[in-house]
Amino acid sequence: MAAHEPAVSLENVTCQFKRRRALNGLTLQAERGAVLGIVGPNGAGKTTLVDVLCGFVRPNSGRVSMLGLDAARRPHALRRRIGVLPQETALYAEISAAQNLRFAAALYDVPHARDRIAALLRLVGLAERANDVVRTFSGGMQRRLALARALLHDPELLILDEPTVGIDVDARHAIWEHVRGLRAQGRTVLLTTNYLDEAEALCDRVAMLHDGRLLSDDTPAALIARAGRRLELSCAAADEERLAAFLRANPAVRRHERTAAGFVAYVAEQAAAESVVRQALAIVPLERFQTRAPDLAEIFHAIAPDMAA
Amino acid sequence: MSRWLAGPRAGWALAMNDLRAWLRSPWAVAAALVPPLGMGVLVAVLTLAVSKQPVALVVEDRGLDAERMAQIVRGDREAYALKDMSLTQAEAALRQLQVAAIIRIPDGFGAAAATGDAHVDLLLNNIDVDFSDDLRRTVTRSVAQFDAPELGGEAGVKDSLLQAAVRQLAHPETAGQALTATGNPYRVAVDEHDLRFTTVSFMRYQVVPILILAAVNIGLLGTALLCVREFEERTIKVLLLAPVRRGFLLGGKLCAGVLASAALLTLLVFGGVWRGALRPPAAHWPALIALLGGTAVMAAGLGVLLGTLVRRSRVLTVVGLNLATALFFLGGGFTTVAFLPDWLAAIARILPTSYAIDGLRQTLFYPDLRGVGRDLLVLGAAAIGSAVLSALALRRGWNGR
Repeated sequence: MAAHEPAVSLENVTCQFKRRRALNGLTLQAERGAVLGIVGPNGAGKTTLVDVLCGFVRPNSGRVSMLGLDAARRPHALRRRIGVLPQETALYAEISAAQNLRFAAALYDVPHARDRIAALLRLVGLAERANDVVRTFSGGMQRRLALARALLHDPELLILDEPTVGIDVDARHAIWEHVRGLRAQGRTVLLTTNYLDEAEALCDRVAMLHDGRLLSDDTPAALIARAGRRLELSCAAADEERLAAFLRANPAVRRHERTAAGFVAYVAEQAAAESVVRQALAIVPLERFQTRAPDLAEIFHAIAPDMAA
Repeated sequence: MSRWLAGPRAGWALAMNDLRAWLRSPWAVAAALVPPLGMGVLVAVLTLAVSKQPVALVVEDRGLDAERMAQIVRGDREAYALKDMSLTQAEAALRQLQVAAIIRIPDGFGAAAATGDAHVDLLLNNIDVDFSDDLRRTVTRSVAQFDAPELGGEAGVKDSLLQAAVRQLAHPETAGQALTATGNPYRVAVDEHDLRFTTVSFMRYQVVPILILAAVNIGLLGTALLCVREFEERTIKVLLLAPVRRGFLLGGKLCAGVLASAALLTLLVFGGVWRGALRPPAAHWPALIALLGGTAVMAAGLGVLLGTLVRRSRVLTVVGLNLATALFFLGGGFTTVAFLPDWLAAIARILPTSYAIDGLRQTLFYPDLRGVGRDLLVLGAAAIGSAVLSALALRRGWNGR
């Protein structure tokens, strides 16, 4: 594979299941050595995209290439170079962690499997539980084991399908650390997620899908900036009209809306949010204010308000 | 060289993984073992039910004739499990369903016999015609034997009709003399000619379907369950993502089912040999092993096919159990296929289990291997056919969502 060639490239890929078009002319690239996040609401096409990349689903049209190989023509050669962490972990629950990895090692014909398994179990912090049956593992431990399995054959490209869904905060941060480690080793990682903080923490670029199409492909910071910081303000009922007028007139406020608890305003950045609060305090006494990064739904609303509606 | 072996190694790893998972799933082991064990118990109960009825014998006359009559009744062990009782005890036992009938040799039997007017009372709980006729026939036989001891093996009679008939089979040229020599008091005698030299007891005869049921349960249902589990727990993705040709994965799946079936069948066969229920001639062992192997491969192939087609354990429970039942009963599990009504026999002839059962019976019970070649051929064809269909089903099942 040439150095400039993307690790993953989809050109005008369409997948149709009966009447539903899961991917609709999707064109997307993931650069080598980068972490690409795929985000989007349910039904956006994330799972279908992963299935296409894994070879589970053959697109109706378009071209998919990975690591310089045509996915339709060289699926067998590709499988040896790709590691996948499926959303469901897909572990054999009745057998031990080590047996799961030994089985995967046999499937991938991993040389020096015993040493490799021991090293990976240490890496994901499961060396002490190597001989325990997987059924007794927590969700986070199962994810870490599935990650170890995905890394077993030392793949160049890793596909992580919602790697932290349904696990606790500590386990989530442990997975993040492993992904950062993979990036540092120069591996290409493609991960789907529903959490913006995850995309922000791990991804070099984030591709947002909607209805099987690419809505946006940008850095996490740029995406957040497009939606703006979320600023929540509340005041006495008698002052609400004045506060609404202030928000309407303030050029730093991109848009605002009235909620049961008061107002939500979206501003370009943290500094702008602090400035808006100072100005508002000069006009009306605020009962409460707070600011936070937007979530995915809010970014989605900012990028495609008509689609969100 | 190592690369060439990677596929078979992966297939073997899958087989071992399946076996390990199966052994650690008590429900799957139970599902495979309970039906054949249950069938074994059922056959034993049925055998006892159709052959040995508990019957009370009440002897009220103390004379020599009454004693001789009682000995004839006691000597017929085919239909009765006799208990000597008083009339009061016997009537209570009949009421409490502890005995099926009372055979009573009444007081004055000897005197009545001397005038040709003796009776043996049969008080019968005539639940159904089959059950009742068994008892009626046996009592009638005993009564007939009182006047014609040549009909049975009563002590003191050196050459019974039965013995004469056996000798006739061996030396047909002297058969007429033998029958004449016994002095048959009736003008008509039954001249039986058996197709086979062996008469197999009902219990032994039913061991074969139990073996088949074991193979079908583990091979078909066990393998199908392991396949379905791959889809339900999504571990199928692990197999699909691996750089292994699907033929090797299919081979691994089949291998797991065949190994599990073979292990159980080996246990059952050796258990049967040890207990004396199975006594195949020494030269028949290769055919027996081939038949059992063919049955195991055929059943595992059908299991992979079924598992990849249905993909859900709830559907498998319905379809699989019905299929296993049909394969067992229509295959001749409880009867001989050739004696079924034509339309049912035609259906049975499509089922590979009927060939497995026929072949095993021939191999285990009879001195020659007539028809076993055909049975092996059909089983082999069914095994290959199910493997090919499984490959197609896997292709569809693994590609689709």
